[in-house]
Amino acid sequence: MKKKDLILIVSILAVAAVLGIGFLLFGRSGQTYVTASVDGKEIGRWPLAKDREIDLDTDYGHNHLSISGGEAKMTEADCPDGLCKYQDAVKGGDNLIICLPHHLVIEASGGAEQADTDTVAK
Amino acid sequence: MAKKVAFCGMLTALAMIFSYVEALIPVNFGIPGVKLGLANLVVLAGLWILRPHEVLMVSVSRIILISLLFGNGVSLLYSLAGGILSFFVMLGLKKAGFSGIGVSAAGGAAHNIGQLATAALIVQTAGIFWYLPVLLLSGVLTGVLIGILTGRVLAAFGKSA
Repeated sequence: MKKKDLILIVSILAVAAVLGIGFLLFGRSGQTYVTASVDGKEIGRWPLAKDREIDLDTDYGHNHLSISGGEAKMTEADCPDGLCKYQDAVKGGDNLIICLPHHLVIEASGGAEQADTDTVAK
Repeated sequence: MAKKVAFCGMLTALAMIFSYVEALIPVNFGIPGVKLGLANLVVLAGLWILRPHEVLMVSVSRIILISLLFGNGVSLLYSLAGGILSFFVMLGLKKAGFSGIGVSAAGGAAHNIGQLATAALIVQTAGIFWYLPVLLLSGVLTGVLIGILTGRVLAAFGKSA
């Protein structure tokens, strides 16, 4: 074994270590989703990593959810008190936004984006 | 020429035996997808005793035959991607003057990268690359082991890697 072999091996291991540490540090946020449910039934699921604006119109009323910078926040609600707008943003872990008048729960989850068909049917 | 063909055929058979033995007695590292890759010993030694296109033929024949005998269409794709990428990486490094252990370590890593990339294409999920660090590490470790073994084999041929 020559010296350059050792350098090569150490460099590959270094790349593996950097990737591994990077994935461990930033991995979780990329994997989490935010779920909206009404009366306990899921109506939508979106990745937290991608910024987007979501209108949630149900039989109970209208809400608007903004996902930006890995956080989901309720920005509009047409209920009388609008308490959900003052609740902390959902950003993974186990925190929730609950809009009681609209029976709406926003929570973080680890599952996949909701699909219209299941994997087999696709 | 005939002697060369016969020699390549014997090396292919030897590589197949290695694949078979490894399937019979798996050296379990406790991580899915991680194996020793004994057949790479033949490819690696081949780089020092055959011409490049002959080594590629031995490697590809071994992969196709083993997949036909024991695998399926999907396993053929994975193996070919890993085998071919690893071959070209090892050939390049050998020409760049690296010795057997370095060539083998990089070849092991390249083999795993090829397989993982194929898996990512097949399941259409980039998330599978989370597994890359583990596979790089294991590819280098098994590659170093195979490199040491190949050094011993080549020494018996009176050559040094």
